[in-house]
Amino acid sequence: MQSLLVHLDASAACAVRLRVARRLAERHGARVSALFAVVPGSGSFPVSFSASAIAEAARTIDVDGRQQARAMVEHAVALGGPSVDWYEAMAEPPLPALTRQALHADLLVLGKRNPAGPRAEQLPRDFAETVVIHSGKPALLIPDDLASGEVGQRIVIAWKPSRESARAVSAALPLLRQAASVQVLMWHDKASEPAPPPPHDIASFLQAHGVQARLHALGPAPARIGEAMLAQAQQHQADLLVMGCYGRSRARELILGGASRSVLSKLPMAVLMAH
Amino acid sequence: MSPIKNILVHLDASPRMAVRLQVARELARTLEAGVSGLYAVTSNFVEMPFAVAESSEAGAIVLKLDAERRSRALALFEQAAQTGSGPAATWSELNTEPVIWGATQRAYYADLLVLGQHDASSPTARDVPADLIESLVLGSGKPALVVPYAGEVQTVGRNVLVAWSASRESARALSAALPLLQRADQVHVVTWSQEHQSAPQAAGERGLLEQYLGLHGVKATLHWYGDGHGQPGDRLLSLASDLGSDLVVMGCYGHSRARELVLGGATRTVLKSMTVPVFMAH
Repeated sequence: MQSLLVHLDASAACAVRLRVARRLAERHGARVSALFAVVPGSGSFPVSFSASAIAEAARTIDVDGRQQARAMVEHAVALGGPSVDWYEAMAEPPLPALTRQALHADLLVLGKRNPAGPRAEQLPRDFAETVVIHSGKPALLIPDDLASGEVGQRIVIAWKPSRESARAVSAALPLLRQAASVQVLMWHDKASEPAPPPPHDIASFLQAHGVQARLHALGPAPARIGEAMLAQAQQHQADLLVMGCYGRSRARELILGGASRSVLSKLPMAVLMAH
Repeated sequence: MSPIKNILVHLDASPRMAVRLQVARELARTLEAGVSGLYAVTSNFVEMPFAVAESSEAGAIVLKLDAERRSRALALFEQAAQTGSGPAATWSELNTEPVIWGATQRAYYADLLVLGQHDASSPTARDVPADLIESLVLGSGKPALVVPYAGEVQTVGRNVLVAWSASRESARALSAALPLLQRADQVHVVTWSQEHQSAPQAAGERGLLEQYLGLHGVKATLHWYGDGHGQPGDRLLSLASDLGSDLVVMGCYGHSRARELVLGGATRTVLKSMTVPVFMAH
């Protein structure tokens, strides 16, 4: 893990995201890039403005908050710690801008779009999930109000033999190796599937990567699996939940899996997701 | 510490399996990883033109065919284990059908798959589903090293050619291949411009790519192919041959539609015509 990319918008929570990313970068010797990207013109322009006029105005009068975001980054860097490479999307919408930049990163650090927040129109719906699915890169989703302290001391993995889950675990390995405790939660699917092959279990996979984990077999999956994951994670006092991000895009719209949707709508702790 | 700890190599009863196994063991030595072999073939029951009960006379013959094939594979495996170099591989086998489903379940616990290019003209061609590679790569999300069905494989990953396009699949292949790129003598990256991309955008992305490789300690020569003509798959293979590449890294493009896998054009071309090992991810 050498390259972290933080997404910034005009929300105050960006400082939290940036702090987490820089702490991680310090621990892993990685480099941090920050990309400011919001919906062009979301800072109240008349609709008749052209994209280039909007981009120009955004540069000069900070109507979308990018100057403020940049000042926040510079302030944080001035206080010490790893440097941050600043990038900004001009006239390009945030989804393609971040997805493109993400292709050159190892881990994304994103926030949760707050639909009731003051600048909700700055980002499209399901922003973070869409980036994870389109870029194929793993992302760390950081709650807006995350208290100071480390992310990844106590990690809970929601494991299921699936591509998404396997990707999330592989992406989390650098964090898992440094964690004080790792718990693996497993539910099994209700019937229908053929019997699973002989146990080539997740514990030995993790062990080969230098991670000691405790397995918890929790029986058949409950209907509200996302909530069950969160409840278990809270019971283990986890500061990071690792899970697959299930979803697919159909006709420009994202159809998210139930567990991903319910975890992301609450996000009471940091979550590492991959598709 | 290399992020590749467990290499899963596909085993069958074809003589080419020994080459695959040796490639996997050699990689395991380079990467300090372990090798697990997985014998996974389609039962002759599935290949029969009519339904056969296991208890019938015909069923007994089919069972015998399966058992004989398994002994041939095991003998090949044991012979290869004695003659080859690198860490020893373990033998395991699938007891479930279908092959692709079972192998995918196993792949979740591996970091890299080593598979064989499908050889439609081989007498053992029907032992393994023709779309095993793409099904496993798409289904498990794990990267795979595909070994060509013909020719000697001397080295893998000394002189690497990476096919780069700003896409999820390409980015996956690149990041999964980093442990190999870091150990290579030479790395070449070839990029093609995207249709909707402006020149400054393309230049910006080249910069990002160079920075990303640099952060991971990979020194690469970038080749820019602009909007050249011809099929990208064929152009990639001829460039690999011009550069003397012993490994090609590329995205595996495809999606499933109505239970059938639809592969991207370049991916299909390369999987059909490749003569050097190819590292793929979806």
